[in-house]
Amino acid sequence: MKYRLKFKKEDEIKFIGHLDLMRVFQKAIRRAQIPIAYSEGFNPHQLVTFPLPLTLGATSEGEYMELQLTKEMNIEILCEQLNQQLPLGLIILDGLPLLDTSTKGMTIVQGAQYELRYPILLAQSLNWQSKIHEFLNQTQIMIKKQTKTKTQMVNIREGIYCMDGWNAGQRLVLDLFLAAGSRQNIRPEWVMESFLQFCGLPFSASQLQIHRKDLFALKNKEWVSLQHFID
Amino acid sequence: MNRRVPDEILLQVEKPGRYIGNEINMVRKKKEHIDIRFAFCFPDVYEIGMSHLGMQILYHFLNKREDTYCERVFAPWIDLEKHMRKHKIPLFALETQDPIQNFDFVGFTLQYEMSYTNLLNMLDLAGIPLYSEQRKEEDPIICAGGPCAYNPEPLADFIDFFYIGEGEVMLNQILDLYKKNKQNGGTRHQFLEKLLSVEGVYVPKFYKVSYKETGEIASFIPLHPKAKTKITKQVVEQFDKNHYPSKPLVPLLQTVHDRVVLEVFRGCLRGCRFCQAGMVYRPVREKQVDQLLEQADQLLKATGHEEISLSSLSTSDYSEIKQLMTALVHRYSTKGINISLPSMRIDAFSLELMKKLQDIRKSSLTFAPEAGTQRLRNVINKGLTEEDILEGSKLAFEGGWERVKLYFMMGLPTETEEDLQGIAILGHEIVETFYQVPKEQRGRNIKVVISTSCFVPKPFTPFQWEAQNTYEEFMEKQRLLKTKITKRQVQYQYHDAKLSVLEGVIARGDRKVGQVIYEAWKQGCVFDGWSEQFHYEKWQEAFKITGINPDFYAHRKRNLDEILPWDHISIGVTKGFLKKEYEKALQEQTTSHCRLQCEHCGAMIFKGGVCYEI
Ligand code: SF4
Repeated sequence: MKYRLKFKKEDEIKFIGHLDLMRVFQKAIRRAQIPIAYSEGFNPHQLVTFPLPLTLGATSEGEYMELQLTKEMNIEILCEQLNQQLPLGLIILDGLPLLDTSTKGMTIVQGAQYELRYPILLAQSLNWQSKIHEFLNQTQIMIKKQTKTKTQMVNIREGIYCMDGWNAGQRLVLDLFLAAGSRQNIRPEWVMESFLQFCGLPFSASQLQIHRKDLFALKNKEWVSLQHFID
Repeated sequence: MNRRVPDEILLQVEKPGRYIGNEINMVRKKKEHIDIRFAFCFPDVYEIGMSHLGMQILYHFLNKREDTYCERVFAPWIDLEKHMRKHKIPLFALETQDPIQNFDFVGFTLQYEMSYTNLLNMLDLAGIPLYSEQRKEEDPIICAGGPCAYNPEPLADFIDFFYIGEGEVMLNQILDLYKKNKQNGGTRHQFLEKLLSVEGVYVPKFYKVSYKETGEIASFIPLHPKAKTKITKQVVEQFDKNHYPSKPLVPLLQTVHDRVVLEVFRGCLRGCRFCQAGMVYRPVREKQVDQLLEQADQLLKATGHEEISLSSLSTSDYSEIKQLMTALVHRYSTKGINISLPSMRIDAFSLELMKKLQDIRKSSLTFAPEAGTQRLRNVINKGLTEEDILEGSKLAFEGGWERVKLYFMMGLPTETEEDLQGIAILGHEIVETFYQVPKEQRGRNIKVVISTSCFVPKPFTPFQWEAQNTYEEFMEKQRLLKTKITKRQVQYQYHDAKLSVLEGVIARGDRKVGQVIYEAWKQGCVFDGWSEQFHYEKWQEAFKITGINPDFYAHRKRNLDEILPWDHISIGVTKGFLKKEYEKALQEQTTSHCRLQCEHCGAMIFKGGVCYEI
């Protein structure tokens, strides 16, 4: 029995990275006595997967996890039981039973929507709409991608599907729809950094607030939120 | 919640999850309803402190009181410390994120000497004067306990009072006294005075130490009519009725030990002569199997952990270890729970268990002979023989195991070249034992890892009078052993001896050593136990500035009638017993363990445990 749960990650818990978050869920699942399935072998682990890890420090209202259970469970009860065991800032919002044949979320996810906030002095404020227009009109937007062994230059233009921006108080807000998943994954901080650079403004990663709004998959060339997507 | 450290800073430091609290089973209380705010400080990073059973026990023990809110504090890692100093963020408690400067108590647990500079650093970050005598009425009372408190003297100038022994016994009485004193408008001096009538409490300022020209202690005199000449450690007599947290904290961050811990007994039967824990935690007091199984169930439910382990010294000495392990395996091994095996004598039973619980190819057999020859093992009273090791290895090799780890100590009293060579020989013999097992029964490749640590003589052991090896001697011995290990299947791991020598100075230090710790901290020493943070030069500088000679503490053999800095503390086990054990050690005679024959060590004064088994 497979289920996909949608959850929210906010407050303090945003400082817990992905690996630790998985452990937090594992323990919560046990405490909630959910009939989770285990892998075989000496160190059996719970059959739980996460379609797309969220970077440490980011909040989200559109996170997902997929569980395999040994017994069928009513979705509401499943969510409710788990919610009672989660630490502050983690809330299960919704659930969807999947088919046994369903492809894993991490394989189907292709898009992610983000809202980014970055402090901007009033004096630095620009006409964001037109700047974004110019920014997107470039054929290439190159960023430096750091892996463990090397740095690589990567063109992220193709992966920026939508981009909008406005001022909110002393902040620049960017609404982004980006390529996500195993084929191409655009990190939202790359977009903010290269955009600010394009505008001639400084960037410091620790000032950036990242909020993920949802994850999407493609069905008949239409974007569908993972919350409703079954294949 | 008002988080103390803003996002922008937390996003720049390693593992920000260390500083946010909010763990599962964290105790939340309304501050308005609280009379006593207690900051329980562990002078090391979060992941280490949170793995510590004693902290879990006392956290929940103190929070059982409605009038008290016990919160946790860990040493911020150096990256956050820089930001805290720059932005003037005071040291705070995880639960409420409040600065601990305004708490009633700040209590430290002293687990290892090399955390002492962290303790000073934490007081400083909190904005609390480091020296007791500089503290004002509004400052918290600073207390300390834990294994290193058995020699409180190096920290005597910084700590208002020490608690000697197991916290569960007297902490309530101490807090009651405090509350009453506060309600009556009493001063901190008056409170500390009242503490003089509480068993197990040592208030350094009511004692005066004077020294001979040689540096030895001339006298140790109480300055107050009520100050006891001997402070006796406190132990839980009815251990099976003792409070045990049923809902331990579950960290959100991975810690060193991320699992349920069952405390099976306290104390140790064995009496290894180098081991402080074996003496200071006497006598052995056990819990019953039924009780432990019930706790296991409850704890697994309350935490969601997927691993369970047993905690005690020499766990395989638990009188019902087989029943306990069998029951745990029976109950949990099919339920996705890992059962971590205590180190056990290798026999058919333990091998059977290991087969069930571990992947043979990946797991190691572990032996801790501690010394390379039977002669030296007799000196240290380590009752593990070469035969035990080789027979055990043979059995295991026949079952498919192919990795062995051996732990030894270097610099033990009376050690000779032959003893060091014995380490290599034992390693080689294990390799040979492997090849004697028929090919079709054994694994493919044997790997033996020999690891040596440097012996540090500790207070309250029969070796407390002994000289520690010098740095040069340790290095020479390591070099020698390296040349003796000739088989390629044997690998040798060793440690830099500098830290051990320093540990040797502080472990048996007197009040004067406090100046060195203070000076080292001023030179910038923190996290000395972390090799990449350990700056020996700064410590050397601290010795130079204070004019204190480390050799006097580490490398000097004491006279048996010398007044030792910790003589005013009583652990039950008598000095006479330790002396007798020391003499027997030098004559290479062993002493049997408590259940075989009681040697009347003195721990009987505690009215419980193994001393009263029939
Ligand atoms: S009094 Fe006897 S039984 Fe008790 S701890 Fe000492 S040696 Fe062991």
